[in-house]
Amino acid sequence: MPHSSDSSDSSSFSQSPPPSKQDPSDDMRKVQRREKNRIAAQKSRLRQTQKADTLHLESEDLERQNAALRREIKQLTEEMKHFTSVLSSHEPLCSILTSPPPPPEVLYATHSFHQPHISSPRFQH
Amino acid sequence: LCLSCVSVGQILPANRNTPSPIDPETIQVPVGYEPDPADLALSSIPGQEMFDPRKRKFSEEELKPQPMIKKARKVFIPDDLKDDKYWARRRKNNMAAKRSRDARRLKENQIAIRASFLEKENSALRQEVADLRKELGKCKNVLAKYEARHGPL
Repeated sequence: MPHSSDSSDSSSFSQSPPPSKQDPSDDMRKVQRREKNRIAAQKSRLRQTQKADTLHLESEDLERQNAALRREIKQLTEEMKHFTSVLSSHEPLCSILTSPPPPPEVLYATHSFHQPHISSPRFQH
Repeated sequence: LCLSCVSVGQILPANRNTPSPIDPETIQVPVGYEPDPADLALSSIPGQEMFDPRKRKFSEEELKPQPMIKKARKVFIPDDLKDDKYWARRRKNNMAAKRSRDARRLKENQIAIRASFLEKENSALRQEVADLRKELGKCKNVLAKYEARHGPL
């Protein structure tokens, strides 16, 4: 990932004008605090960019999955359409439909394997 | 009563009788997605339309890791050189920096909401795929049984 960065060196500040009424120990504390803050800020920025990068990668992945799923659905529904058109063109030719009504026992046998298909909640009666 | 007693309209529920050819982009799957209104507010610009994760897609270009601009070193400027022009420049830069930070924050929030919407949508799409495969399986099964008894259609 292209992160060309910047002021990671600690000498980005030239010395401030000499403090009046301040101990050298105060100075040292100030310097230490500044350095700590600098590091903390750097860490925070790093965390933020990493979080964003992760999110972006996830996002791209989700879009790809989404597109693939839509393509799959398209293919499957086209298969279903083909199937139903095959069935409807078979209907006028169907040997069961065109032959004279068979005795009840035979009808029962023919029906049994259709039942689960017909009664599926997905179908509208 | 034969295989084909279930008519075309019944195999595909009415709301799925889409006209061919099917454009995958228009495939709608019910996604019950309610983003946190606070998050939505953080992702929308007040003057404009509310952010809609369903429509707003982020391109690969937008999602690429942001190249970092090299920051100029801080040079100390003594007070006497801090004239009005200086402060005018500072103000301008501070405003620009704020706009930049705000824009970035907004964009990240939008991307996050879109991502969680996509998660929900993807699981709905997966369910649809599973359902379709199951139905197709049943149809093929019925057909196979018919063909076993009565020969090919």
